[in-house]
Amino acid sequence: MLNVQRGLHTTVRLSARTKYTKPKPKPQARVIKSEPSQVTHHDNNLKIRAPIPPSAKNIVCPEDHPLWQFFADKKFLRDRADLDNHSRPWTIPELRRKSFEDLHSLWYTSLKERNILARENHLLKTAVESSDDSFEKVADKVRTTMWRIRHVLSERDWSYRIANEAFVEEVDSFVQEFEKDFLLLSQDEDEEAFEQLSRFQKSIFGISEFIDENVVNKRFIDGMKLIANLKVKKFSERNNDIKTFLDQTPNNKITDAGEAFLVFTCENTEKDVKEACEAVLELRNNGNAVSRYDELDTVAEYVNRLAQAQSQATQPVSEQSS
Amino acid sequence: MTKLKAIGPDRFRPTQWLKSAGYAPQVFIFRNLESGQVLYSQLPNFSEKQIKLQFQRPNWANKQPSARRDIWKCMCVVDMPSYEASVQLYQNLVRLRYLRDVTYVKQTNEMRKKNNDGNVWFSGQYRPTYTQEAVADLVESLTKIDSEDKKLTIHWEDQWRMGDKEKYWTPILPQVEHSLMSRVGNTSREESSILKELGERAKEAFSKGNVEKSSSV
Amino acid sequence: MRATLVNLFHESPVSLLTRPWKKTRDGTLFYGLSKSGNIRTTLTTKQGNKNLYKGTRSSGIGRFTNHGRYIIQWEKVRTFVTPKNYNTDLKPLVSKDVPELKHAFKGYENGVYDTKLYFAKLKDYIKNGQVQSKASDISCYVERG
Repeated sequence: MLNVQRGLHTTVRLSARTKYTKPKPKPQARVIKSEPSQVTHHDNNLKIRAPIPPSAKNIVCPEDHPLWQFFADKKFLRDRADLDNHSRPWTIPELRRKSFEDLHSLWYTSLKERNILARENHLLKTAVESSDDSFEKVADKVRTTMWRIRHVLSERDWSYRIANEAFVEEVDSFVQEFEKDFLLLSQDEDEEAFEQLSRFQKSIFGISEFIDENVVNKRFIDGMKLIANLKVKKFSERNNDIKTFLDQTPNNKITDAGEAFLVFTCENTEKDVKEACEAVLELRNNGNAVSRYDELDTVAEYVNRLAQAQSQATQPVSEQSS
Repeated sequence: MTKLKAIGPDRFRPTQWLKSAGYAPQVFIFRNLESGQVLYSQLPNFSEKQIKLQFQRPNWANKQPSARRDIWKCMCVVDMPSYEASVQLYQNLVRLRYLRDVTYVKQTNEMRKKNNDGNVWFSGQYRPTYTQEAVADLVESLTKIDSEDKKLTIHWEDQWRMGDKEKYWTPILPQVEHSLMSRVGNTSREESSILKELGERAKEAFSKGNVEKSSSV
Repeated sequence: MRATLVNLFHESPVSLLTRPWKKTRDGTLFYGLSKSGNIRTTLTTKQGNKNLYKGTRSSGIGRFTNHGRYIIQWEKVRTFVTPKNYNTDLKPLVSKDVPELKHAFKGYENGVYDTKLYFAKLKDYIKNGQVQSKASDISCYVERG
């Protein structure tokens, strides 16, 4: 073997490969353990096909598609004979008899109908290039209905405003007349009488039967006092306790808002009114009077409390039912 | 300003890379809204380089489209049963594009719809034939991939564009399931997130399928 | 590019509105029937006097910020309120066989706006509630109002 202790110049010569030296063994073929990262190749039998045109056959239009509202009987164009050629638009007196909700619905129906007619007319003019104007004629009639609806609404608004102005002078006679009629009704007609009362409070003072719908203002308090008095008067003819209560009150009239609220909210029966009167008497004995300056706030608080109590009373029931 | 390079879709991506990078075995097909040309991609995005690769012989009727993202829209996403199949599908599609553009130019041209002047039918810049050819190519390359027993899904942007289902799809490729991409909201703006969600779902389905396979074995 | 045949334009109404000054070789107008008349096309936004509003009044529902963003003010956006209880029984037109109803307003000189009429109706309502008036019968065609 090599003598390492020799100098460099001899080592180089000895280790250099000549044609007489024995060749080193070839390194062994490396075994690749990891698989090739790419194995696929495109197919070689690919053929060119004719282009595939798009098709609407794959798409199914649902029966209740909202755009169907622009079509009559799901037709592209209606026949002229199918059109409603002979009918007339609604007249103003006919529309006056309808409620707001009905007028609103009728407005929408007309609008939809006009959309359909406009679409068909446009097609007739552009695609078919016809000069037929039967679609326009029908659309014009529908338009007449529509302006008449607006006219009636405007009439209603104006007559309400005018009457509201004039009502300031009329209100006292109105109330007196109602009071007379109301007290005249006998015991057998109680149900009708109190229905009249609820309509009266709604239309004159804007007081709803449902306590939580109400907004407390001066008008509400006036109405509340008036109705409390009416109730007491109605039952005072039948019950002596209530009569004595009425006699005890100054001027035979409840003026205190708190007292009025108690009577106003009680049920429309003799017994409940009597209980309310007793509660009022208790209030008076304790000296709990509501000052005229605090009326609005106090009554608003009462109304809120009552509404809350009512909603709490109804909630568990609804939960059980659900 | 230096241009940021999106190297993701720039290169060809083998199966291993797709797996490790967390992509599902999918192929994405984009269509150009201006010209109707179609671009194939392995990833849910595309790059300039892919356009150069897939439009090798541009001419006045088939220009190299620009890579503006706003004029490309995803036409369909193909969910493949395995990564190998997805890569092969991509290769097949690109190969078919090459055959159409370079090898069989004449045959391709004969099959196209012509206008009165004898040119490919067009309206402005738009030539609908390119999209239709891409659908034909998709059918052709799916038939060549050997995956009859396995299910594969195509999510279409529009059912209309896939052609008559009864005529072109069910007789040849009964195992293919067609579904519709989400069309709620601004789909152009939300495209990347829609594609991402499709990818996530495909990945989940793929891993589930693998588990089933191993348990059955 | 080959020009489209002139004959094909004769029928289309749009062609009547465009390029009437051009003539074909035989002297007839290239498009249209006559050269006179100034009401051929709809006005553009640049024509008309200062009061001409050409638009659909569908814009102007918000304002621009200093950065160019547009903020929609929802109170300016048009809304269509649908009826709560949609009564689909009502049709936009009435059969011609139904006689037209008339309101007489006898004794109420201001017609619908008469306050006396309003109060009478109010009293009626309080007393009887909502009751259908005479005209709910088709044969009735004159009513108080």
